[in-house]
Amino acid sequence: MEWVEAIIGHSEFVMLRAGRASSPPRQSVEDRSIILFPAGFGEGQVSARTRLRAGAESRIIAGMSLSREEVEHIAHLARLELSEEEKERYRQQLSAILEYAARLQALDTADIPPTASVLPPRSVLRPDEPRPGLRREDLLRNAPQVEDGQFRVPPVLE
Amino acid sequence: MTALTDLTVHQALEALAQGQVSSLDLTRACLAQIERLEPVLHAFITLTPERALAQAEAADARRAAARHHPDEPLPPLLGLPIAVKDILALEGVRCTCGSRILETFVPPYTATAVQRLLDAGVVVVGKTNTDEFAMGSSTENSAYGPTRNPWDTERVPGGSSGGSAAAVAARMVPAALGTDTGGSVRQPASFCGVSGIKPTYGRVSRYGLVAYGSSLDTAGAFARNVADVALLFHLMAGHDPLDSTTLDVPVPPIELPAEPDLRGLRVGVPREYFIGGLQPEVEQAVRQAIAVLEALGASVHEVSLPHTEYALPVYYLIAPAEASANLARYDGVRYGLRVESDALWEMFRRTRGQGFGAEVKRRIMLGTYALSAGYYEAYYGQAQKVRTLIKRDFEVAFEQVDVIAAPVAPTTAFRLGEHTEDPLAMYLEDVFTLPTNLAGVPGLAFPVGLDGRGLPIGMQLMGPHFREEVLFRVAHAYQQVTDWHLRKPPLL
Repeated sequence: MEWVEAIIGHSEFVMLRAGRASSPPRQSVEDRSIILFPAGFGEGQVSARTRLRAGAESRIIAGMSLSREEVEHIAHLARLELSEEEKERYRQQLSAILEYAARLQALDTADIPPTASVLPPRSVLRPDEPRPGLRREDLLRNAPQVEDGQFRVPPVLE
Repeated sequence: MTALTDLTVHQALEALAQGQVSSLDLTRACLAQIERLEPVLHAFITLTPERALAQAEAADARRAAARHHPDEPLPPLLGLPIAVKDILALEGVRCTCGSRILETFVPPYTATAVQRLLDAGVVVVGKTNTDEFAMGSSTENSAYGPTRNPWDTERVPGGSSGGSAAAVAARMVPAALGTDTGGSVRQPASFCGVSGIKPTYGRVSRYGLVAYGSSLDTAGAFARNVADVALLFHLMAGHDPLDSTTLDVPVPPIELPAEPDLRGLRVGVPREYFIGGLQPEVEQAVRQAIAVLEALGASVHEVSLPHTEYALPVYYLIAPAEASANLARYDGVRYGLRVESDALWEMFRRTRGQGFGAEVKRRIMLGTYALSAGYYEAYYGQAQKVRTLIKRDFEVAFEQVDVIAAPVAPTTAFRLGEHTEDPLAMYLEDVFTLPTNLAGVPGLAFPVGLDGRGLPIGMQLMGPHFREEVLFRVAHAYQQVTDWHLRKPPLL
């Protein structure tokens, strides 16, 4: 089994990512892709826990630092145009926030169900009866461009 | 006689009922106070004086007509001027959400929480300032400029409902509506020395509340005492067929006893809320307030909410994740800003890049990352599991006590610009208010002191789901024997 040394740097947490850095991390709970250990964990301890939770081919990277390419990828997914200056600022700020958020990884939640809503699960269906909705002209009034009672947009395909 | 702008909600309604003042008098007094102080405080994004005066006239006419029909009950808030946070839709009045992207958006419908108060007879004088899409703790993230704290205009009023809190503190209105996703009613209430409720999730309809974090968003209210807040809350609450997350549970009238007596009440004090970084004067004032509750007959017990320290990272993964999905709708097609381009995808990118401010983009980026392939389980999934632990903390605590008392924020109001360069430092302001949103339980903030600079200190009471009336009863007892809620900002 090949273990890359644990890099315990200046940050409070170090990060472990399964698989090669270039490949997409895996997502299942059993084969968790990202595990963070509090700073101070020695190499031996990391290896022991890693063997349990991450499997082979793991390596440890320090901190939680986003690359420029990752920031551009996220901005693309979010359909946000960012200036060069914004990209660099968000790279630094998101890295710091994510590093802070990494402390959650220290909690063992193997048997804890996720909470998506605090409400008790229940049926909220109502009878499917037609009824008046908002009027088309009222809804179109806020649109930047309208044509023939419809929203007008730039070409989708060239 | 008391100045009209000094009247509380209950006093104003009594004066209206007795025919001592008209709604037109009250509304004009509010508009005059706004005209006087708005250049300094900037509590509003949009003022609606003509509409307000017309509503006031109609209210007065209705009250006059009712004299001939004394058996017909009048709406309970008939003629009362209020302000509404610019996150809640009011038909026909632009709703900017503090964002450039909605600068021209005029909603074609009214939020249920607002509509219920309109049905109860209120007069709306305007839409108050907010951090853009309610994302912030200082109202500095508003695209329309920051609101200033009436207690010290070099300081922030808190946020995101800073405009509503400042307007109530400055006697521009006797009450105002806000929203609370992570502390956005309670923290500005604390910073501005007023009272404010964050209801149980599912208690007050979110229909027409422009979505930020849908599993956390709540609509609440501010006033200068908790009895006033209770009255507004009671009228706003209840099941709404237009919001499937409102529960069909009864909304009992809130009985506030004439005599302050808290015998039999168990007050929990969570040790995790009295930690390093807490301003000593805040701790002292909150502990003194707890001693007042004890003197009124309550028993005080230390409780533990062991996962409190994780609420901040959980919130700042879950709320941005939900925001990144909710704010996908702002694409320049159906409403709001469009930055033209000859290709659709480019139009989306430019509209969103130029229409959103820095904090909104930061949270969209953060949420998109947390939900993206490869990171979903590690960030969002793990945050949802830890949210369960935070919720369980409260369930365990509420087996031992009836309410939990704690500071609202670690400090009193900070200076404008103090945290704007460091988002994480700004997020830390919310450390004591986030857990209630994650657990969905109600929280009520009210003033319990002033620090050495004369800035208000707030305490919050938290209770089990749907037990707001207990919070109001306890805080009302406190306000019957103390006078912090009667203090006025030196500006006035």
